[in-house]
Amino acid sequence: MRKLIQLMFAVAIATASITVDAQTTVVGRLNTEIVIPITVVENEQLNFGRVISTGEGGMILISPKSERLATGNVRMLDDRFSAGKFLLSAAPNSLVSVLLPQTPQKMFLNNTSHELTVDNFISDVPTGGYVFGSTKTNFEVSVGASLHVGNWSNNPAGVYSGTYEIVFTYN
Amino acid sequence: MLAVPATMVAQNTLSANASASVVIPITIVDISGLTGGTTLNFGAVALDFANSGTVTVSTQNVRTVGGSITAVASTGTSTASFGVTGTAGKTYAITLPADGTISVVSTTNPANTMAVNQFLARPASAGADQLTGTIGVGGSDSFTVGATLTVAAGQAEGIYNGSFSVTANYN
Repeated sequence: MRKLIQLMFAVAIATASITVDAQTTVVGRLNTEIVIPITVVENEQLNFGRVISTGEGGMILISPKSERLATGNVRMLDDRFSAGKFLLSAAPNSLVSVLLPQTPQKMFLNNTSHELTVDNFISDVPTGGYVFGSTKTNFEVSVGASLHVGNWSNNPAGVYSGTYEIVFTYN
Repeated sequence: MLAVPATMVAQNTLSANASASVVIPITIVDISGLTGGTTLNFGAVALDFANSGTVTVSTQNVRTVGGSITAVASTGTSTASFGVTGTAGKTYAITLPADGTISVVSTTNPANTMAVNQFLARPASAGADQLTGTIGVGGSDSFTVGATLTVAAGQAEGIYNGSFSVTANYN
């Protein structure tokens, strides 16, 4: 009798997935510095003093060191005048820049259209800004400019006044 | 008559195929090159005594301020930067700190703190802010982290430090 032989074939497929360190953590640092805001107080107005126009007018120049110079047909009276002075306060180890008016500014005779032009603003803040030292938080900024005085018709006698804007910025 | 020895029956062929998939461990490393470790640096900002504000350093290291504070332009900022290594082609998930869990602390007075929230990650493989990256063919990827710092009105001046954890998991 023929013997039936049943052969059993088994196929085994094994799959292994080896997962190691499927998660990792690292630490990052955070850093910032808080500094005081810039504050500015006007100590002195930019004052060209008393000026006499002797003809077609001229120009008065005041330097940041409060040195006054006249050109053209104007004379200066020997009285009080000054560069503009501002007490600047900022954080130690900071760099502060100043932006002066880039366009001519006007001063007006009270309630009239008579005007004087002021331009060429200049300060004693170094190019690139003022560097506060490690212990210094105050610095007096001086500002000069040029005043253009017209003839008698355009600039009758009186007190002229106006404003100008200076922007101080941390750099 | 064919006789089959019993021993032959027992010698059935067994074919077994085995394969193994080995996953390289995922790791995160500091790739900033900074002494002390990778740092998310918000730079210096000038506080406002009356109003709060925010400073955000994006994942592309762009600083923006909101509210009434002012950034000190010359102070550098940085994102935290991490390198990821693992199995090429696999995606991974980045876990960043949840809002309300991370603060920076004044180095001079631990009572003074500021919250850091809205952490974002930008995997190089994605090119966008998202929390999933892909390990490149070379077996690595990298990502940067940015966040937002909240500065309170009248926040005490000084240097603030902190830390945060970042985790990467294979998806």
